[in-house]
Amino acid sequence: MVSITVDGRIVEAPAGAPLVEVLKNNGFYVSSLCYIDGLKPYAGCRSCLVDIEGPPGLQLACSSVVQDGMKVRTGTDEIKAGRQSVVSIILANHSDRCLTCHRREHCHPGDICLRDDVVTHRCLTCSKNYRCELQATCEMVEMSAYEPWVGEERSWYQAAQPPADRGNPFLEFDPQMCIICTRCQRACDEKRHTGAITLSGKGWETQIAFGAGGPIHDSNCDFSGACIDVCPTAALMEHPNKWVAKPETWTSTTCDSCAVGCSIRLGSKDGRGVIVRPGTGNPFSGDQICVRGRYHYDSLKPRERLGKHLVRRGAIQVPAFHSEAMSEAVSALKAAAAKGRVDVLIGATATNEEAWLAQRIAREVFKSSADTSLGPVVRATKQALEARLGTWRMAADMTRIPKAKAVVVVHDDLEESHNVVSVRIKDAVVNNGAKLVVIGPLRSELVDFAAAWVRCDAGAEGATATAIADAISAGDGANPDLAAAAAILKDAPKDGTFVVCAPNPVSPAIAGAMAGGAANLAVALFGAEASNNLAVLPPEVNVNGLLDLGVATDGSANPLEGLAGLLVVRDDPVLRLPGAAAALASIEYVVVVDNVLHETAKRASVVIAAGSAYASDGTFTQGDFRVQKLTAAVAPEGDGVKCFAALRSLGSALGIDLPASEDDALAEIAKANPAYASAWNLLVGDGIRLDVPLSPKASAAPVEALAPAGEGMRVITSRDLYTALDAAAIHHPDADKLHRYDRIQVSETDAARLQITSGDEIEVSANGTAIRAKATVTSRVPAGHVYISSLLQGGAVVNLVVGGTVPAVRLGVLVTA
Amino acid sequence: MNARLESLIAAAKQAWAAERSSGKVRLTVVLDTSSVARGAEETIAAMRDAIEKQHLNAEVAIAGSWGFCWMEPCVAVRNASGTETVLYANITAERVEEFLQAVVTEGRHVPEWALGVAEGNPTADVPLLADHPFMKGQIRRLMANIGTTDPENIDHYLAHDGYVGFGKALEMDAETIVKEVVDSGLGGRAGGGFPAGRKWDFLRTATTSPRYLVCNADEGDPGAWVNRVLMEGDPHLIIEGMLIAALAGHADAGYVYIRYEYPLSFRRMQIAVQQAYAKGLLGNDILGSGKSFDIVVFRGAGSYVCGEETGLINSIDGHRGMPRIKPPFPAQAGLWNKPTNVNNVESYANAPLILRNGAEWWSSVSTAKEKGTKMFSFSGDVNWQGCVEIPFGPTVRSALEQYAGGMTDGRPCKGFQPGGPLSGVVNGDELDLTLTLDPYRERGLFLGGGGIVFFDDTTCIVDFCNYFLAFCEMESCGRCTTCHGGTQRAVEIIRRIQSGGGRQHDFEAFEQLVKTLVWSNCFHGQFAMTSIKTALKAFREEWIEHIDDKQCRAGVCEGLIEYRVTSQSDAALAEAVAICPTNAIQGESGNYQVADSLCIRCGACVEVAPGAMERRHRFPIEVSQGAAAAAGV
Ligand SMILES: Cc1cc2nc3c(=O)[nH]c(=O)nc-3n(C[C@H](O)[C@H](O)[C@H](O)COP(=O)(O)O)c2cc1C
Ligand code: SF4
Ligand code: SF4
Ligand code: SF4
Ligand code: FES
Repeated sequence: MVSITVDGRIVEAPAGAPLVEVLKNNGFYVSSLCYIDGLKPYAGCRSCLVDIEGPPGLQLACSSVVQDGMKVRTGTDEIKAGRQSVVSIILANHSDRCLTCHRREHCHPGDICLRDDVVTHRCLTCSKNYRCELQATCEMVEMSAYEPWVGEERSWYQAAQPPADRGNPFLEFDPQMCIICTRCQRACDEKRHTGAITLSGKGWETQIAFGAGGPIHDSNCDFSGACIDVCPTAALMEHPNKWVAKPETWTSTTCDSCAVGCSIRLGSKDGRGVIVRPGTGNPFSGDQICVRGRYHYDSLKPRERLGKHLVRRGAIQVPAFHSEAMSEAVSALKAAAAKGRVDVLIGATATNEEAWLAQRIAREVFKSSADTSLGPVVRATKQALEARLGTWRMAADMTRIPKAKAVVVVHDDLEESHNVVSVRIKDAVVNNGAKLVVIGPLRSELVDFAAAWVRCDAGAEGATATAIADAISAGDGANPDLAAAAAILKDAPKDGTFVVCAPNPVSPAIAGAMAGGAANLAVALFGAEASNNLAVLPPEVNVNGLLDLGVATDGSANPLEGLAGLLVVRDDPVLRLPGAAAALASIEYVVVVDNVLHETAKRASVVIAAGSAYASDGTFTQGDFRVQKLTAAVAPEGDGVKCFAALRSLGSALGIDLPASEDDALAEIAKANPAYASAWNLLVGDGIRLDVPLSPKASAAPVEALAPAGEGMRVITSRDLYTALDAAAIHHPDADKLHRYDRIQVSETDAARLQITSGDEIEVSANGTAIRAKATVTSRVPAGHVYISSLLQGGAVVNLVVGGTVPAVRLGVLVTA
Repeated sequence: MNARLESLIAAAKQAWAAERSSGKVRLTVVLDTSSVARGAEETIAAMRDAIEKQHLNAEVAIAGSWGFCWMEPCVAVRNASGTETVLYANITAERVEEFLQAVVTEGRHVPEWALGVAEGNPTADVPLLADHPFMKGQIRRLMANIGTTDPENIDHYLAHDGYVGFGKALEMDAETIVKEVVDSGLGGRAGGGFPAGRKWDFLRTATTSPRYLVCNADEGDPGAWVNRVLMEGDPHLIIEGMLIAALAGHADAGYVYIRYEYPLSFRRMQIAVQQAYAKGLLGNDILGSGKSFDIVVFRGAGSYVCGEETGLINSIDGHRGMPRIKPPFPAQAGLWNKPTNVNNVESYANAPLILRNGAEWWSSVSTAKEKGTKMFSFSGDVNWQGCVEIPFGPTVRSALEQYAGGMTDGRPCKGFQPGGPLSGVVNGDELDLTLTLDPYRERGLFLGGGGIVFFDDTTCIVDFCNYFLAFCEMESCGRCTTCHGGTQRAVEIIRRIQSGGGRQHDFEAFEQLVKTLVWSNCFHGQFAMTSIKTALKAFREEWIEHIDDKQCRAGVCEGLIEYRVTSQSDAALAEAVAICPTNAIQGESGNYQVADSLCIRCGACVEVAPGAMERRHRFPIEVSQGAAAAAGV
């Protein structure tokens, strides 16, 4: 720390820090339209003028760094005039009449413009009105009535502006609003390492471009929206709810779309979510979220969710009052219990508190243990880890990833399944020179960052990881990629290496093999320290929470067998388990508590409408055992109730006494599992990592490459980045709004062989199941394989799985595009 | 000296001598970008064809430009016995037959096409080339071999003391080389004049490696082509200069960044670099000295600001060619964030001369503060658009008269631009300024890289500023609001003035822009307003005429002039009506009128019907305060 003088006040600041940041943090106003905290200074807007004693003339606060004894002035007449002049030049290329109008605050939509400005050029007709940084800046630098270029034949108004890009469901770009600050380009590059945005052209033609300059969705943009967060104007906007996204309330909560657990802030209006921005304080996700985190609050419109409780009357389900539905649910469950076994399925988007209640109902009322429909996959992973490390709970802290020197990834496609982990791995590669080793069949975007990519067949991921583990000690010249990967890892510093594994979400055998292989690799690299450097990311958000509560720790390969009744809480076995639809048909009493009318709910006797996770309070336990807080940000739709409340009333009606609030539930959890005591006073956003001890043992065990179940092409399946779980569960045609993953992906080689072109209607079939969809030909998929998203057509792919292993399918062309 | 170098030179001298004693008439044709544009390739083809068909005792060779760029293709004819060489100009393909008949078959001079005797004694009909007014007073050191040697043959360079300077430098330590260059007083030739030796010393004392040299050959100023003449005429001079700088600064590799629009320079530099590698003058363990240095020839990105040193560095680094934020300066973090020294082509090219002959010899030539010679190219409304090498110091007037052949058609020199779009504009009444750096600096201008553009009274100063501001606008890299937006504002105002909408406030607006653009990141934005700023001072009256009186004395500004029918009975009027490309002359016989909104001011009508049509001031002259009225159109 050194001290500098600002406007006569002494301020302590770290030497070398950008002056602008220090000034802002200490309450001095500096206009800074291109500088933004966290991105490298660009010095383009030239508005952050300050007077630094010494050099002649005014200087920029964003490209100046703090030096001991610096004397800075921020408000001289020269500075004020300079700023105004600079901002006036920016305004000359923007709709500016309102920005220089003294009347703006009093101007209402119906008012006639005193200055006779065109309606479409008025701030009132801009979606960013009142949350625009340019607007705020104009106010601060007093642009009112300052118009040196008024009356000019402004080139901006005369030249035809490139049209706005509103061609995708997430991100709108209107170049007319752009002030070319390049914040978006830098965010995309420095924060996301995507590089989808460039500055193109020169002089008059300088502009922001996506990819090669075409539509956004033709570039490699992954719609994380990091650019929107930094854009000072309405040039980059979220497409959904763009016009209403001036929230009344901001709620800090947690994304429910994967086990990374990014902190988000959900803005709501009239109890309804209208916008998501990254949260603060989360040491892992920082200011990043992915397309799911930003947009899946809006994956379904409120009316597409479940706003009514339903009870079955013969073949149909009819709406019912809450009390009615509740009493029918209770009698159904009681009747079932009288007849035979009743089990409880809890989905991974249930909070710990909701799961705790459901699990207590299972144990205390039905004397059974609760399971989840991801159970078979989760247990396979758990067992593979326990066999080698003696525990399934990994001690590794993922916040170390960006600082790693080498990273190994065993995955289907981490970029898609756990996006922000992938971003942090790229951080390590780009900012820290880390060497990345990727193991898996798909050409993931991470491959572009990899020092070595060992491409293998689906089902051979675990065996390949194990082979690399062996090659590290023994050396192996047979496969050059494998040898290269082993050589990189052998040389990597042990305390700077990290293994990340995201086991397959569909096939238990593959999931187990992947986890086993990753564990073997960790053992080879770190010995007894293996679990300190291995992160295993579960397929959905709260899987680790469920396991910690004792849900799904044991159970059969087919959790739906031999039941008289079933209580399903936020779960949809039809989406996860082969043959679930048929199995459900033979269960007489099914009660569902959920937010959408999915296939399981459609088969239920009673459906209790509950709010989504964004309507819940409580906690999630993430992949790296960070417990994150959820705060209800939206209201349950229609007649719906909070899931916690529904379960609590169900419990009382069934005769047990359940905790009154989420906090009480957490207290009970902490009593049962002392690790959760620390979660008691966690901060919203930041979360808290549970104390996970080092694994009791570390020994490798062989992993075989899995043979496909029969003849044909191997199926690769994984969680894709875009499809929304809840929308997929109701077979919503826009579950993947981009329509990239409602198709089947075919390799270029096979496409050439079978004469398939993108857009052809194809069919894959096996095991008596056939899936039809359009084909996409892509180099992402290796020859001899097809890729089907785990959520395509409501999880259709699960029915291709036989015996838990790699499905093999026949492929046929139905209609040529 | 290095023994291997000595033997290279000896062999080259032998080869050169052998070529010279071929017993054939040697026709050395200037083959560079200007001469190619004027048909040099066709000339060469015609010559080769004629030699072959007529079995002439002659051979064709190529060389760089003597500087007579407006009279290309130039051909130097050396007689078969080698007693004399005569330089001819304008030898286009059509003239070849007649020309060869005379100089080869008949062995006589063609005095009407001759420029002078380059080697040998003057004759009654052909004087010495050195006495040609364009050559007199030139001191050709950088250009010493240009015109005589083949730029694509390293032996020609070696035979003319090539690489001797480098040979000497090999025997000196880095500090001594730096000292020699500092002592010489060599200043940066791109216009800044920063001592090259001191720059090299930054590199020498840098603490990290690798270190790089960059040769700035982006030469983007309209009207400047001196770097091109060097690269296309004597590329090894630049390579040798970079080798010397590499020894001085412990540099590991160098990049020659060549303007996109200079494909021939690019090819010549490439050939030269390849030949230098082949001779062991580049690469690892140069001439067994243990020193290594590589050169990469890089084709530019085609934008003006890529000539700005950090824009250039970004461009080589594979980024967008945008000037960087300084600090850090290239000497600290340049190419790939390693210490880097950037110099202009001509700056490097002087180093061999300094090392070869010593700092004292080198600096003795100029009596001005700036030492050594400087190459200039002259263009605009002048008779001779050529390239010269002269010591610093003469007045602009003498350069104009002597080397540019005076103004076209003897019109008055209204003013000149001393060195590119950023350098500003000087009024023709200041022609007595010397060609040195200070007088311009003192006036808020600068003498740039050597391209001086003169203009006469047919140029309107407002239009001139419009052109250069539009240039700056178009070439802005787009980073700074002040630069890309500021130049837009300036252009808008100028265009409004030009179309008759000038207002008093405009002076203030320009003033504000001048002040505001200073806060731009690089010189491009910082100096973009120099044209206007200096023109407002040097040509104030003309601005007032445009803004207050709505008069353009040069009759250039579209909105301030109009075309009018003056005689309905003139027979040529029908022709005017017919030729008007926009059919702006409307009406019927006996009642033709010009529809002003359609007229594009092309002037075609006046050309075909001077008696029926007239171009005149659009606004009544009475309001004029005098000056414009006096000037008329
Ligand atoms: C917009 C702009 C364009 C420039 N273009 C050139 C150029 O074409 N050639 C050049 O040598 N220097 C150019 N310069 C100057 C260079 O930045 C740099 O100062 C020069 O190469 C230094 O060489 P010197 O020290 O040998 O003169 C340009 C500068 C600016 C601001
Ligand atoms: S789109 Fe927004 S963030 Fe990007 S340059 Fe334009 S104004 Fe800046
Ligand atoms: S990475 Fe996971 S937690 Fe983060 S925003 Fe995306 S889906 Fe949500
Ligand atoms: S002054 Fe102009 S050319 Fe230079 S960095 Fe700024 S915008 Fe680019
Ligand atoms: S914030 Fe400093 S130039 Fe934009």
